[in-house]
Amino acid sequence: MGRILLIEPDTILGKNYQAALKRAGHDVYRSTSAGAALQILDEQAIELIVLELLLGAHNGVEFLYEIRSYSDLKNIPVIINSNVAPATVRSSPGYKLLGVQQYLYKPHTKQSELVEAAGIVFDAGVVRQ
Amino acid sequence: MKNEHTFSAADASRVPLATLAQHVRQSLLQIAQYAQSGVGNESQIDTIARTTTKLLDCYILSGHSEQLELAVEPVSLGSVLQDVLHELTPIAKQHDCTMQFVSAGASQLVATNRAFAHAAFLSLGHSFIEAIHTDNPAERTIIFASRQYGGNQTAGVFSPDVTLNARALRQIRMLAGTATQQSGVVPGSSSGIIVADALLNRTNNQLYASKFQNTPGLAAAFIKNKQMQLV
Repeated sequence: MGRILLIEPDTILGKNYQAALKRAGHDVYRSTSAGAALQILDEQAIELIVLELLLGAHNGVEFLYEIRSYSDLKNIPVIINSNVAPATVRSSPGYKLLGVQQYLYKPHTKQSELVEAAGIVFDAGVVRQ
Repeated sequence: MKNEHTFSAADASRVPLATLAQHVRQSLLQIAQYAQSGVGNESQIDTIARTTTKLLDCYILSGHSEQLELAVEPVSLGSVLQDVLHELTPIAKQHDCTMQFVSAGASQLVATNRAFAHAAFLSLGHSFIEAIHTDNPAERTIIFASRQYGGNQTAGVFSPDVTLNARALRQIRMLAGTATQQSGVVPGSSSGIIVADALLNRTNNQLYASKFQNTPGLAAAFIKNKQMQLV
């Protein structure tokens, strides 16, 4: 269906999410860090980013601010799939500028719900032009 | 270093509860994801469950260590590290990490408590496994190393991708229990490092940032067992 960049520092979770999204028909590129993710964005025409905010050296919010500053990356839709409770992030003033399509809280989100959320983004046609 | 804070058993029983809860939550998330992926993942689920149980045992030991009578005995650090490596191999494979044991020079027996040393390096090793975030397979390596240094025997855990320098270790010690992430180098709770710190502190072996063959990591120095030297 579409090309997804999955940014997930936990290898076990990342492999499971990747497998689930692949079973749904997507091409999934997986990275464990913001730095590796930027490299993938340079090399592949990514149409959707699934992002954990709790990354290593650069956290997910910093990563989002960075890609929103690039003209060729700023319109890529993002689904946050994070261990950070949504209320913590959504209430921050700059949240609406980050272009987040959906916020999924990992402890409450099933694999099928992540797959469904990705499907909704592609069905709605909210992909990079 | 003056006023350097290291974790005591009293600290271990109070501070890392939220930190540990995050770690356990992560393990349960991993289990849930394997379960949702369908059948055929029973061994992976079993590995995560067993490993997490062992880590909880380490935490419990660190919290009760002040109440336990500490038996000091001659211990081979090399055998402790090899046992830990063997126990962590299944979970390391799930994280696409390779592990190796290296002993530099003749290994001497040290005077310490084997159970505490084992628990400390088990916690530390697991923290390193979870901390590796490079996509480069060559750097997804963890080294358990033992060597003689300055008249003592040292043992530690090292990895090219986990740059736990002295500053990061200080940060982990200062922020543990008060922050979701104690270090930008070790995403997550760093609970394993905190537990290892408390256990080693109990046996008077402080964790410190070190390098093994130019690979960064954390190590502790142990006093050689003089009784065995007389034999």
